[in-house]
Amino acid sequence: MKIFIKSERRFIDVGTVKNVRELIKRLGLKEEEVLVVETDSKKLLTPDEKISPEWRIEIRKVISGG
Amino acid sequence: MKKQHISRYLRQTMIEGFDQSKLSDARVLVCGIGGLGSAVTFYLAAAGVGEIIMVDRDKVEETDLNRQILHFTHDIGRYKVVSAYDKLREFNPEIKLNPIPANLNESLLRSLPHPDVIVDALDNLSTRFILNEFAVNNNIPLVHAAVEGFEGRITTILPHRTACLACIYQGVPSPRTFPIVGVTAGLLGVIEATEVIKLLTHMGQLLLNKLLFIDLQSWDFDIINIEADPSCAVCGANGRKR
Repeated sequence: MKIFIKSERRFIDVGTVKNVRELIKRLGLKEEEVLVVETDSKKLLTPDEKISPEWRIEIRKVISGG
Repeated sequence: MKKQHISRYLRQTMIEGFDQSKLSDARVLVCGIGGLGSAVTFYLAAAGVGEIIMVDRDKVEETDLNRQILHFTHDIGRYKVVSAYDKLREFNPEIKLNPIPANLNESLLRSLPHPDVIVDALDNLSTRFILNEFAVNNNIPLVHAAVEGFEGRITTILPHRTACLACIYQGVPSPRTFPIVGVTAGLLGVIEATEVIKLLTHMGQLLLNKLLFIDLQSWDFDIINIEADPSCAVCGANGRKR
């Protein structure tokens, strides 16, 4: 499964993942640092959400500056 | 409304359906008077919001001046809320300004007069979560924005009707000094003020259950759909209530 890392504008192949939590872990990231989005529906995914193999997924970083 | 008020706000009251009294009767709490907060308060004052409460514990530093446009070079070392008060007082002497140079926490929030809207113009998620929980528990609309570099995000939260911050963010990232160009904070602050004006005047559509992502380098403006999490620790069925 290819994941689009928005901030780096590149794709990473992560193989098969069951859910969002596993995906984030596979990428070596922390749940509090990223937002995971299903590209076609433009929907924000929660960590428990199951990932369908046909989905296109993108990772966006959490920002909190003011 | 006094005659001079009518003149001052004439150009916005020319908009069909625009009710100035909804702004002049409103009290808005702005948390954080930095990059976002400077733009938000400036435009809320311009629009004639009746009372603006400003909370920020920080004093102006030289490194703030690339983006925090209410603070000038001679303000370095002064409380941001006091610096902002001076500019906004001169800009619009007809509105009430309430500057509070204090740490934002739950007891401070509870001590304030009840606002009609809260603006999250803070710079860290841990304090944003405190504000979010207060807004949800007291059923007060919360306009949230965050910025970094050339990027911004913004959404409007109506407690128990939309996703709250705890539905969106899964925790607090490690604190760090974030890079920022002033225009990003300015633009997102102006959009926050727009949401407040629309909320108060019941005009247009709000960013409800929508997180607007803005990338000023690529000119990407896209909206991500968000949903309230039924198991959310703050706004879910078993959320914390005080």
